[in-house]
Amino acid sequence: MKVCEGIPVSPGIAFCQAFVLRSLDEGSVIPRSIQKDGIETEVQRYKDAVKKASARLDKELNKLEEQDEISRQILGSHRNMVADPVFAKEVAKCIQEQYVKAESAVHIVMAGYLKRFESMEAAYISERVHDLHDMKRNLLEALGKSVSRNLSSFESEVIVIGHNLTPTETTSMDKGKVRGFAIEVGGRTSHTAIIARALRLPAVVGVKGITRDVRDGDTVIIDGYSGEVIINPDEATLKTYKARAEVADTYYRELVSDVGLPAQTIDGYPIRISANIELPDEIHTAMEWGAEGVGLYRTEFLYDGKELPDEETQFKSYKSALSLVGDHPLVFRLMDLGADKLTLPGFDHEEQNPFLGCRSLRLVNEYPEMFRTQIRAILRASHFGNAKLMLPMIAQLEEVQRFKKLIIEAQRELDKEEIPYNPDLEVGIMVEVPAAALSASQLAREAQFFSIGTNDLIQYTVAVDRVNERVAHLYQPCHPAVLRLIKMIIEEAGKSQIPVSICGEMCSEPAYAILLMGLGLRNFSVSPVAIPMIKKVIRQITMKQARETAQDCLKFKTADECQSFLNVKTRRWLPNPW
Amino acid sequence: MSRIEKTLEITNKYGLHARASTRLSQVAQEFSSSVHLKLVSDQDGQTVDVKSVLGILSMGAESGESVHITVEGDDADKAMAAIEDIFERKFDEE
Repeated sequence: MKVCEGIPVSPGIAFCQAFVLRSLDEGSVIPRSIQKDGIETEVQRYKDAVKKASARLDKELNKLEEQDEISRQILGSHRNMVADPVFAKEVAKCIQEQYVKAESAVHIVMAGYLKRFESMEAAYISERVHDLHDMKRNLLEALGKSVSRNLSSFESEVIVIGHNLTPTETTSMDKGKVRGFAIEVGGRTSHTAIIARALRLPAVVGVKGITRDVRDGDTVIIDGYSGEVIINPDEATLKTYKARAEVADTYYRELVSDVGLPAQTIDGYPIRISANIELPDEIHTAMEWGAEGVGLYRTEFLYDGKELPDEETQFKSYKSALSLVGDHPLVFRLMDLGADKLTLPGFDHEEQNPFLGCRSLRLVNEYPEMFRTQIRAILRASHFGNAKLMLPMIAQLEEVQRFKKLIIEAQRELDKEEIPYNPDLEVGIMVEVPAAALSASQLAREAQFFSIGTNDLIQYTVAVDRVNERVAHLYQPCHPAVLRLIKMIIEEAGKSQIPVSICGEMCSEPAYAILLMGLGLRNFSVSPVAIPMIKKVIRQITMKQARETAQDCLKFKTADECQSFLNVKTRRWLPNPW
Repeated sequence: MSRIEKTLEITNKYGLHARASTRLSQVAQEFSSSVHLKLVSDQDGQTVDVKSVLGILSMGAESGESVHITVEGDDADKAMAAIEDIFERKFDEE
């Protein structure tokens, strides 16, 4: 028995035989011998395959728009690679000398190149190796071999184990047979994780070395609540987990069946629950689970890391998102790029401190057009639904004023073009920098609403990068300074009479949700998967209990004391199925 | 049949990466002469066929490095002139 740990990204417990997904280059081509008289046929097959692959790439090239210069270059480069004359000679030689089929020869010759590339400098290799894999795939496909990894049909139930799963692979999985998956890469917000939640498949990501530790047919347990992956469990462990899975699944089904009930405390205080949306597909699940709108609509998904989306693409996407939430509000956050997220094309500055560097709205000096385009698209979409606009990473009043000016300019443009928009579109800010929290009363004069972004607020307050495992333990939501800042923001919003909500990960966790309610928050925006749980917790307590909990929490001198108190105090209200 | 050798410097921004290698191999493929390349900094290293984009890529030549080019064949003059030209044009990158 071996226990591995990863990040739980989709709830549920699964146990069954493992299917280990090997990457495309490993053993996907079995060496196939041929007779001497077959040599000519194989050499000809390879030549035909090159022609076929080239023709296919030419066709794709022709389909591309003139102006799509980057894609044209990449495809052109691949087109040139499949037709490489030296590679062709080497393949022919391999067929002749080793008596193997063309597929095997491609595999063998390519292995030699990959080996050579691997001795090179890191950044250079990763890019090139990718190209080589593409080239190989192109050639093998032309040789008539299906090279996509097939997960769409299994004979018995399986848990899929792999290094990585692409979103397409995840959606193509045999829904009746795949019970869950564990992969080596990825995080909570990776697209694969989001799709797993939408498919309601237990999933754990970021499990280091899992493909090495698991063999096909091993029994594996995946705990999508704790993030544990247990390989070949002993009798007792398997029994415990079987019991847990039953209780947990029943409990979760109950949670989901109760989503129609209002999020209201026993003593009648309603809490508004909306959703944090990463990908448009998630809106369906969120609304189905009773979200009252979208409190944070991340727009970065529109940007593929290569080319910024144009106004029309954005407008259509925003309009369709608005149509899915009906009359409920949907808060669009302006592109929040840089730092840990994608960087922009042509932006190749070395950042010594990316989180303190040129990220988010600070990119406006270098990319004014990007913001102008997005603001126009949001304004145009605002004509079709209850849209709001949110400015991330605000640290100073001038930033709010500057963006409001940009919004007015965009409105003037649209007026001239006679394009309709909502002139009363509300513009709010994310309060996620301590400076903004401390100057909330000034900011409230320019902002029409506040949304507390706890992820960054905590990291900037305690000066801890939570991805850095050496300091991650110091990232403490219960730090007295964090709680005071949150309290201060709520109070200032109250004095200025503007609405305040919270949209960080913190409010997706039940114990913190109670604390935040007690501090005075009535508007939560949580990840869709957390909605049923948070609603249930709210229905199980009174506002009086939440307030007392919060008041007690504010008295502690240290984060640890506060955290232990909160854990003990909230235990009886929390859904603990085992 | 003649043989010409020259040392050229890589001056484009990203060195002989995918795009530049593709252009260079395309130019070499236009001639019947053989075209080979070797890193000046690594005289004992391998020589690659410039008509092979994979070969050029496997050199991993960066911007600022010099390469030794050998052209051999009936159209060697024209081939070398075209190669020099594409180096000067920074592989049409900028």
